[in-house]
Parts: sequence; structure tokens; C-alpha cells
Amino acid sequence: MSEPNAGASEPGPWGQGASRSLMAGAGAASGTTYGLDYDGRLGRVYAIWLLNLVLNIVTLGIYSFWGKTRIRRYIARSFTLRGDRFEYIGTGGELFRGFLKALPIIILVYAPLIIWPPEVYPITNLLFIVIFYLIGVAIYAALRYRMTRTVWRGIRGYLSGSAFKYGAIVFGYGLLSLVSLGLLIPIGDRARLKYQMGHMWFGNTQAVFDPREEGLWPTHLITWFLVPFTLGLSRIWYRAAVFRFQMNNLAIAGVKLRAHPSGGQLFWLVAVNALIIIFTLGFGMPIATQRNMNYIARHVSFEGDFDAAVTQVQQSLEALNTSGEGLDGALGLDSGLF
Amino acid sequence: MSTSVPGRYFDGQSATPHIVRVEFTRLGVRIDASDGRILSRWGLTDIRVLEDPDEGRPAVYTLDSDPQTRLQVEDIAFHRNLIQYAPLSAPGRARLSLSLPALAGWAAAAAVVIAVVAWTFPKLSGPVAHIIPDGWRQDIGAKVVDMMGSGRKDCRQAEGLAALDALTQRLQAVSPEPDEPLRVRVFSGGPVNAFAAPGGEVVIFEDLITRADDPDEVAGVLAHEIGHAVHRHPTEGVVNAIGLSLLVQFMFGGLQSDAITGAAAQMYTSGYGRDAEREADQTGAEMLRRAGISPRGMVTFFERIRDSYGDSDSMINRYLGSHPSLTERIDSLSEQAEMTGRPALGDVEWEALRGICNPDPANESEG
Repeated sequence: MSEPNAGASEPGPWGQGASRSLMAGAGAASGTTYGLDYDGRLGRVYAIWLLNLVLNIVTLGIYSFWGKTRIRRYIARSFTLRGDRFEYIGTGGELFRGFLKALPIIILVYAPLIIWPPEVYPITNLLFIVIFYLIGVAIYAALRYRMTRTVWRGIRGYLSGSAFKYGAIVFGYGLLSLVSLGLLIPIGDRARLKYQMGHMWFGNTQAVFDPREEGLWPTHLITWFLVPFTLGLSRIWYRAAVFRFQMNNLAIAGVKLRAHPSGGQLFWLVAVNALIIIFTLGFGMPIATQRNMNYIARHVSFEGDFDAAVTQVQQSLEALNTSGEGLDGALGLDSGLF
Repeated sequence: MSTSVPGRYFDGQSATPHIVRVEFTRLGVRIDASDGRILSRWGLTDIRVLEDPDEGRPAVYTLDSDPQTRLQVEDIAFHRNLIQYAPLSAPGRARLSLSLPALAGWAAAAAVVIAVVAWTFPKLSGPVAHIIPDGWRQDIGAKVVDMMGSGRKDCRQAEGLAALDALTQRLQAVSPEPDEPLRVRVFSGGPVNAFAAPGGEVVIFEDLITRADDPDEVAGVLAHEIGHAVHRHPTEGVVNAIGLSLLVQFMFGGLQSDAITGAAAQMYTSGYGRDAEREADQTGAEMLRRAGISPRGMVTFFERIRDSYGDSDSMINRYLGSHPSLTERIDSLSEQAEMTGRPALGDVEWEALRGICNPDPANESEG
């Protein structure tokens, strides 16, 4: 182990945080880059996954909340940043309670669609609008749950902001994208990510998301025009651009995040994962998971005067008080349904 | 036990790590900073293990009274001592071993559970299909037929319909379940095929009628489909498909599994299986015999499909799903059925049936 160091930062888009300490002993000068390290083992991921498979079948899927938690705990622990591992402190019971609380809402929204014949257009269409809105709300609530249960050096993450507001952003700009046949998608992605990333916290320190770098438009326009010729595969290059946009404009306590995956690299990851899953009839899932985690570790790094930054970070009372239930719970947390 | 071991400590307030020495004492665990200052004292009854030491990863401890704090120790002897003396320290969950035998064990357990479930499901679907109320079956059947018939005409030319109804009634009268609801329709276009849906819905495609040599062939196919309906094979198929997709969702969880679900359900349920086909053949042939129609039509129709498409290549599978090989079915039918009987339809009715998809002047003037 080395001397006191410091560092902070929150998980990226997948909510899982992580990173590799270069184990460089002494104080790193400002501007140093620290990588993420992932040392999760395929055999272990398979063991957990197979156990989950058996128990999910035997319990008709009820175990999935605990199984999911088990996988998350292992994966979070396998990410190291600056010598310290990430932690996932969520529990299966919390996820299950969140699911039970969300159930009435889900039934309320979906039951009419099943009971009523599709001819009752005004009502069913209205319900699809409600569902579209609630999906955005649930995504944010689930992200908040995962942020508050992700811990590094004993300090929790947090996500402020309103899930309802986020739902409205996703809904409004989603409509704009739809009406523009996808041409205006980057406006929505920018607004959505600005809200989401800017409301992330590590302890008492709020992230700063300043969308200047990594323009989305050139990649978007090229890949958008290529959609008919590539069966939509060109959009993977846009997904990579969104990932770079999301990461490279983010800073926390003066430490900047860096991620430079190319579209080709993401395409390779997605395509090979798809082939693995299809040709193993789903039994290659843990291999795909490992590939995804290694991809994150390989591409995400942290740049800046890390150790100085981390000494400022204190536990936040707000994060501690966020039980993740209440409103979030009622809207599904990470119920696995969305 | 009096010697201290190195550790890493976080107070749960600040993200600053402390490099510490950790020592077992009579009262619990003492955590000393590198300058010798006492950082914290942890009571044995308060300590909780968050992570056991594992594959070179350190053990992680916290306090029940202060769950934000973290102590990390790599020394395994220290951990053994701690869990021996600290009553609350058990993490409360079994470790998942990484060893190859354990992994193989879980894989075998998964395989057994999947095999048992995959074997039980089809056995259950029969009984389940028989307790589903008629109203539900008819609702499901109507949806299936609507889906299959989208963009096609439901042929209702009056004389053709009369001929079809007459043939249907003749067969239904001698069916083992004459009171089961039954509704036979003709949809325009191809393929050369027919299908039965839950709730006694049977659909014959126009091409099958126009390509048939004589009414006995159509009667044979119709009797086969009524055979499926009598045994509720279509409802079993739907129960199987739903069960399978649920199973796959339980296995793989969430929405990502939709593609797998779809593919698996398709593979699994693309036909009713060999036994069901034989059952439908036998029931159909028996109905034809009792109605005084020669089962020869059923046989010649199978022979003609075999000659056009081969016995069990992909073309056949496309049309007939997982039916047993045609030769097998032809032989089995030829063995047991007498090939005598009256024609299924008279010449005039047969011509009318062949024109069932023609426009119906009567209907058009009405409508």
C-alpha cells in the first residue's frame, strides 16, 4: 500500500465505477493519468451466473433480484482506481421491495393494454405516452439507486435532480427526434446527458459537466445518412461518440474523465458479443459481461491532481439519507422491468 | 496475536486513505496510524465482515454502528482470528468457490434443472390445455387467425362456403368430440398448407384447395387439422410457447433476453412434434373412415408434397414444421386404413369449393 492518496470519481454510464491504480507510490504530479483496472475472473462470473440461473428457474424468477445483486457486488469489487476497489452495497431485498412498490403502477399502466382490444385507440395511445414517459423516470430512479450504492474509499456516490424532470427531458426530446426522423437526436442526447452527468456526486462533491468537447453532430450526421446502407450498424459509431461526449466533458473535484474508444472498437465489442450470445444460445453471457467490463477499464481514465482533489471529498449526508426507496422505489428503481 | 498487521483504513467521513497497523487486543481491534497515534478502536461485537479475503483480495470490515467506515486487511491469519472471536463477523453468505469441480457442479446443476424443466413443460401443457376455459381458447385462436390472415381475404363465396360447411359437418358428426367448437375457413393465397388454432379454429389456404387433385385430398387435410383441434394441440402449442418464453426470461432475466426468447420459442414450437402429428393422422383417418370417405386422399396428398419438395428437406420443414417424415406417415396410413369410400364432395360442390375465393356477387350487391 502507499501513502495517503485521494481520488474521486463516479462510475460512468453503466453505473459501475472503477479504475486501476498505477500503484505508483508517491504523490502524483498534477496532470497525471490514472487508469481503471478490472481483474474480475471469468470462472467466478460464470459460477455466480450459473447459480443464479438455477435459482431463478427454481424460484420462478424471484431470486433474480438477489442474483443481480451478487453479480454487481463481484463486478464492482473487481474495479480498482488508485489502489482501492469499488464497492456495491445494494441488496437483493432493496431491489425486491422496489419491484413490489413499482408493481401496482406497472399493472395499472399495462393491464388496460392487455384487457382492452387495440381498437380503443385514444386510451391505448395515451397509455403508450405514459409508458414512454415512465421509462425515462425509471431509468433515472434506477441510476440514482446504483449511484447511492456505489462506494469508493468508504464514500458513496449520489445523483441529485428529479427523475420526473429527467423523464420529461427524455420524453420531450424523444418526440423531437421522432418528428425529425432522428435528424435532431443529438439535441436530446446533449440535454439528457447534461442533466444526468451534472447531477452526479461523489460524497459532497458535485460533478461538473461542461459539454464543449467531443461534438456529436459530425458523427451523427454521417452515421444517420448511412443507416439505410448499413442496416443501422453505422449508429454504433454514434454510440461511441456519445460515450466520448459523456466522459470527456465530465470532471469531479478538478479531476477530468477521459475516454477515447473509437467507433470501430465499440463495433467490434458489440458484434462479437452478439455472436457469442447467439451461438451459445445465451450461455456465453458471462463472457460478454467480462468483455464489456474490460472494455470500460481499458478506455476510461482519470486525469488531474487526483490526490489533492480527493482530500477535499467528504461523505455527504444527503447520500446517506437516500434510502433508494420511497419515490424511487415506487417508480421501479432497478426492478429489471425497464 | 499480539503482533500487528498492516491495513488500510477509511473513516467513512473523508476519502483520504489511512495506512494503518491493526492489532488484536482483548477488547477488540485497535487501529493505529503510521505515526503510532490510535485512530480507532473497534469492539468485537460491533465488527461485520463485508468481504472475505479472496484470490489475493483483502478482507473488508465495517462496523454495525458506523457502516460507512472501512478497514481492509490482507493478512489471512488476522481474518481467521477475527471470525473466531467476533460473533457478528460472519458475512452471512456462502462463498462461491472458483474451483473447477465447483464450477462443473454448478454447470451440471444448471443443465439438470434445465433438462427437467424442458422435459416437464411439454408434459404439463396437455393437462393445462384441457383446463383452459373455452372462452379463452377462442379469444387466443381468434387472435392467432387474425395475425395469420392479415392482408388475406377470408373467402366466403356462397356456394363454396356451403360445400365447405357440408364437408366440415360430415366430419364433425363422426369426430370423437362432436361438441367441441369448430370453425373452418379458407384464406386466399398460399402456402399449400392448413393450420389449426386454439378454440377449434381451422384455416385452409386457397392454394391447397386449388392444387389438390380431388376433394378427398382436401378432406384428408381437413380431417388431419380437425384431429389436431380435437386433441387441443394448438392450445398445447400456445401454452408451450408462453411457458418457454417465461422460462428463458427467468433464466436470462430482463429485456435483453427477448431475442433469445423469440429464437428459442420458434425452434421449440415450430410444430406440434411427431407424436401429435401421428395422433392427428390417426384421428383424421378414423374420422374419414367413419364418414365413409377414403383416406387415400390424405395419402396421395402427402405423396404429392413429397414428390414436389422431397421428404424432409428445408422446404418441407417450412411448410410442415416438425412433422414426421412423410414416407413414415404415408406408410403408417396405408397400412391401417381401408382405401375405399365415397368421394368427399360431388363434382358440383367440388367446383364450388375451388371457387370459394372468387368474388361473391350476392355479398357484393348487399354490401
